[in-house]
Amino acid sequence: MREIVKVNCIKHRYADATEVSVCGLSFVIHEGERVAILGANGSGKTTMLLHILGILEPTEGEITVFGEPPTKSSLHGKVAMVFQNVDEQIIGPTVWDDIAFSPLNYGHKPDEVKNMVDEMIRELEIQHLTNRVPHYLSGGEKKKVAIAGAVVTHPKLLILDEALTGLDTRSQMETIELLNRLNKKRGMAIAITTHESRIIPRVADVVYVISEGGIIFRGTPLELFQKPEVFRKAGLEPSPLIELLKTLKNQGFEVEVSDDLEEAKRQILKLCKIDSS
Amino acid sequence: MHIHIPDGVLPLWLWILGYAIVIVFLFAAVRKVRGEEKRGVYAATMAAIMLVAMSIPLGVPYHINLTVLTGIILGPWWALISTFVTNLILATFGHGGITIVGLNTIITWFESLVGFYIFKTLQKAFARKSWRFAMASGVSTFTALMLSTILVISIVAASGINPAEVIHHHNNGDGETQMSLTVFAALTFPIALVGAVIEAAVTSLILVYVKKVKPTLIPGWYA
Amino acid sequence: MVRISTTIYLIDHYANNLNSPMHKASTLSRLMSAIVVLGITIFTNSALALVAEFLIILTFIAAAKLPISRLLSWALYPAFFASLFALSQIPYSLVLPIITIFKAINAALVMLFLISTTPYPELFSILSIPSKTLGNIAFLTYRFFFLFIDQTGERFTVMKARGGLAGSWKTKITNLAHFIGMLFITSFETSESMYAAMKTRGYSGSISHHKKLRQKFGKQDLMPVAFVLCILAIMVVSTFFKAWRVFM
Repeated sequence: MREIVKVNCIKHRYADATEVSVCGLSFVIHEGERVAILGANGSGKTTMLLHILGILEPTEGEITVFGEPPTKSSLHGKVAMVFQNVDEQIIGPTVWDDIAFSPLNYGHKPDEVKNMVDEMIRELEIQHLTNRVPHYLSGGEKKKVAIAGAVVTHPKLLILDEALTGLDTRSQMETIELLNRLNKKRGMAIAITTHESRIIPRVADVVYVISEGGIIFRGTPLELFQKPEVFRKAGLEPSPLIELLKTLKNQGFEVEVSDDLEEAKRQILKLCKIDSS
Repeated sequence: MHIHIPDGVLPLWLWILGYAIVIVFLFAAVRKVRGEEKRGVYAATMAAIMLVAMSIPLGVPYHINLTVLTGIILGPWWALISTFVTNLILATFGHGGITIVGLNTIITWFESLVGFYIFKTLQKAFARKSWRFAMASGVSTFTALMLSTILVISIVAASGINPAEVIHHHNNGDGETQMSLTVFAALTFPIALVGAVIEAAVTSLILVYVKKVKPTLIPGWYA
Repeated sequence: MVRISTTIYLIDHYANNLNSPMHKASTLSRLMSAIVVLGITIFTNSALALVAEFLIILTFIAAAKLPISRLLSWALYPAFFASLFALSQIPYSLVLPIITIFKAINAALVMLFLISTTPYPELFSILSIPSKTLGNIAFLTYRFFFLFIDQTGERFTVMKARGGLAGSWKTKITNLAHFIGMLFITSFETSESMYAAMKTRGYSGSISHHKKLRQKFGKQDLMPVAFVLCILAIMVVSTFFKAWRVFM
């Protein structure tokens, strides 16, 4: 699979002299891949994403996006981002206008824009929001609109910065389903930052864990869950489910450590020799 | 400061002249600021801040304007655009008549302009020490507002209307009910003075706070 | 956090969330009707005509499902300033003050009627015609206002709860200034984040609104036309009435 993003030990110095670095293992995103970036607050996740977008430039280190150092013009239409606070991202007077924002800016003709936006609205099933004013929408609705606005130009990579934080469980699940649908249908790579481990199996093929300015883990969600110590090093707590399965495994029981509740139920019931069906 | 005169009071020629002057300068401003996308976002930010700040209750019948702060942060041309938009939005719900937007923009821009140039001059002389920075902010704001009071009085004089409509005043006497301009100025200045002192204090405290917490917001032309 | 912020919030709600024949009319017809009626109001010097106009405006406000008492309370602000001028006219005539006050109220009501049935972005798209920059700044101001007012309201409540306005005048002013300073900084940080997000979406200085002014006139514009015709009718009748009195 083609590499579309590669980050090698970048350092950035902000205007107030704060220095943030993301070193350790290399960070790579392949075409069509779903990547989760796990790390505590202040670990450097957002800083790395802003570098990928070309909004920040590293004072040291190397970063390439689609084979080139990222500048805004080279990434136009290829990379899109949904920010943590969607209020700061939604700009249009109505939902329709907001989704049309990028296509219009990138020079698409009005007829094309209309088709793109209408198709996006249908795909995300937000027809009822079309003429609504953004500041009257609920949090979940704003998130959908922000995603629609980001993917309307069919980017190759969608980055979501803590995009699921603050949503209720149902909205989270709906958003995850939507992202997976877009990934499958369009082959769009997805990179999502989070500090919630329980959603990782649902949204990621590969997980990176960032801690104290370095990437300390790269692997599949299953590989990560076998190593609760990685969570602790990153200042996170593995979920109780992971702890339980790990303990059972250490005691010699035949289980695979996972954060998937249904899978865990099935394994424990099997251990108890109870038919889970 | 801005004029709270409603529509239908000032003579036609005066408010049309106000609009004409503002439109000419707005066109110049728009040409001058071409390509300055980010500063445009700052201009909108200041306009929104001015609208929000006017809502903050101070416990006295005065609302802060932040027009001088706008001039200091944005510079002359963006300050014009920002204050015009603010006055326009205010006029849509009766905070000053829609016909007075031109004149109000001239007054508020005048404050921004005067404040900007005085601050720029004083800053060069008093850049280093914090208390001098505060003094520079306070002096520029106070001076700008007092000078704009003179402008307001001039506009009222030019209009030929009875100045009594601009201030809280009940005239119970027989005979002369046309308030002379001198009397009007004598009544307006103390009120303007109190307002200017409050605004100067607030503006300098804000600028000192900003200088401490986020100095990059204060433009480099003061360095 | 009162007055201006609440006013803008409510006006925006009325313009975007209510549904009446006036709301359905085209932006252009609403705007033209407001300009015409405003012009008539400013140039009318008949007390009777202005009082009748006032009643007609209230009728159309009610027909647009807008709260009359709320809009009237907003119109009282300019009326107050007009009344100061009107007081000085009393020795000369009892009619002049009525004309002055009703001109102010009617003009304010017409603007409020327009802005409560027409979302701000639609009006700002007019500013984009002579200058995209002006329209853009106006729209961004509107967008930022709603972002900042929520943040500011919450922080103001917290400041009051922590006794920020309980001390001496010096303490109050200092706390208020720091509060405004913090509002200033967080507002700029919010707008900078927004700018970064806009740049990633290709922003180059222009925000469009698809409900542009180029709307075809049709049946939906009957209400604004009726509004203008009613006002014109009053003026015509009052002119004839004046002429008849002079003749008699």
